[in-house]
Amino acid sequence: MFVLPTFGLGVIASPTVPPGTFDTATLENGQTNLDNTNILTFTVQPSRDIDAGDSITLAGLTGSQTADGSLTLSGAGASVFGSAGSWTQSTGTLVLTVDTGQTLSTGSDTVITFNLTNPATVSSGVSGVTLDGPAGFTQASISGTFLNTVDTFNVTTRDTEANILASTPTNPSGEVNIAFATDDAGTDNATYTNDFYIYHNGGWYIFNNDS
Amino acid sequence: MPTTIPTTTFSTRPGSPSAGDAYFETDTKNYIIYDGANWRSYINDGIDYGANAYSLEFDGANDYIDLSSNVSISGAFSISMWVYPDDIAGYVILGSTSTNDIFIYANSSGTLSFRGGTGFTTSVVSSTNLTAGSWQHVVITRDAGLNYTFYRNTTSNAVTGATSTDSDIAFNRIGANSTVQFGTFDGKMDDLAFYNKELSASEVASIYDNNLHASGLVAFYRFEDGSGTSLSDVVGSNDGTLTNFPASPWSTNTPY
Repeated sequence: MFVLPTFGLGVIASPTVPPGTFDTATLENGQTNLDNTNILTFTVQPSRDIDAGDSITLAGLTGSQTADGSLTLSGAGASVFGSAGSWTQSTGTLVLTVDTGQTLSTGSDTVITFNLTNPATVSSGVSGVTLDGPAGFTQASISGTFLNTVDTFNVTTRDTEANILASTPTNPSGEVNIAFATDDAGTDNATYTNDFYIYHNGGWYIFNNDS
Repeated sequence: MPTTIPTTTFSTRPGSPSAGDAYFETDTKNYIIYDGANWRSYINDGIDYGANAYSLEFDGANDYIDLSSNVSISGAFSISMWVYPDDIAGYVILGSTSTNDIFIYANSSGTLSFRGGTGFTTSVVSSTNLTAGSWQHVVITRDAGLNYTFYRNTTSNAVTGATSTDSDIAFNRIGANSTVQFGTFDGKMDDLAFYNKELSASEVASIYDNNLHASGLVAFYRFEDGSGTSLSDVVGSNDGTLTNFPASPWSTNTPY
C-alpha cells in the first residue's frame, strides 16, 4: 500500500476574524408630547474600530413625522459622522457613515443626538429597533420604546371670566367642560383671574388661582 | 373644540390610574389629579350660576309654587334666598302641603321664624326682621345640634335655646303652607337654594357679595325660567309648578 508522506505539517488553517459586535448600543427617547420635537440620544461603541467610509444603521424608528433627508446630528460624537445622517421615514432608518479622517472607535462610547418629530396622534411607539454595522458585524437589538406619545391636557377654552361665566356649554355624557380665564383687561385687575372653571349642573365651579 | 375631562365619583375612582389622570367628581365637586401614588383633590372656591335676568312676583293673595317632591332635610342644613317683600303682613315664605310640617314664617313685624309640628313643637324665632320695599338676602342655617342662625344681608342672628324637636323637615311649597294657612308671601323671590350643610358666615357672605354658592346644594331655584308655569331646579329635578299666578308673574327686577 502506498502512503503519502505528510512531513508532520498537517493542514494549514487560514486566519479567522471574529465578528464585530457593539459593546454599547443604547437609544434614549426624549419626550412624549404630540407633535413635539423629540431629541433622541444614541450611544454606541463597537468592539473594533469602524473606519471612515463605513456605516452603521439604526432601523425601526417608524412613526415619526420627519421626512426623508439629511438629519443633523449633535452631541460630542457628531463629528465622527460628519454631523449628519441619512434618514428614511418609512422604515425609520438612520444611516450614519464615518466621516473622512474619523474613526468610530472601540474603547469609549460615542454619543450623538438627533431630532425626530413625534407623531401627531397618541401612539404606543415602537420597539425592536436594531443597529447594524458594516460587513462582519453582528446586528444589535436596542431595547426600549421610542416615539410613543401621550395626549396633553390643553385647555382650549381660554377667555375672559365674564364670557366664561356667561356661557352655558353642553357637557358630553360623562364629561365636563373646563375653561381657563386668561383675560387681562389691563385697566381692571379684577378681571385678571387666571382661575380655572368647570361647568356642571348649570353652574361654573371656580377653582381660584392661589399663586 | 372645548376641553373636557371625564367625570367620576368619590367611590368609583378608577382603580388603576396613571400619573396625571384628571377627573371631576360629580358628588364632591372636587377636581382630582393622580400624582402617581395618590389622588390629589382640589376643592372649588365657589359656584357661579350665571346672569340673573328674572325673579318671580307673588301677589300675596293666593300665589304659591308646589314642588314635585319634598326637599327633605335632616340634621345640618341651610336655606338661602333673595326676597323683596312688597309689604310686611305676616305670611309663610316656605312651607309644606302636609299639615303640621315645618314652615318659615315672617310675622306682621317682619320677624323671621321657623315653626311647625303638632302644637308648634318647633318654634325658632329670630330677631331678624324683613323690611318692605327692597331686596334682602336671607339665609337660615342649622348645625347638627339643631342650633339655628338667621342672616339678613350677612348680619347674623344666632338663635340659642330655641325649641326644635323636628330633625327631619320636608319643604314642598314655596310662598304658602298647607291649606294656605298663615298667609301667602307677598313680594318677589329669587335664587332659593337648599344646602345639605350648615353654611359658614364667609360662605353666606360669598353668596351675598359675589353670587358664589358653596358646594352642598340639593335643590336650587334660580327663577330664570322667565315664562311659563314651571320653576326649574337647576341642580336636581325637583321642579315646581306655579299655582294661581297671573299670566306674566316673571319680573326683571332682580337683586343683582
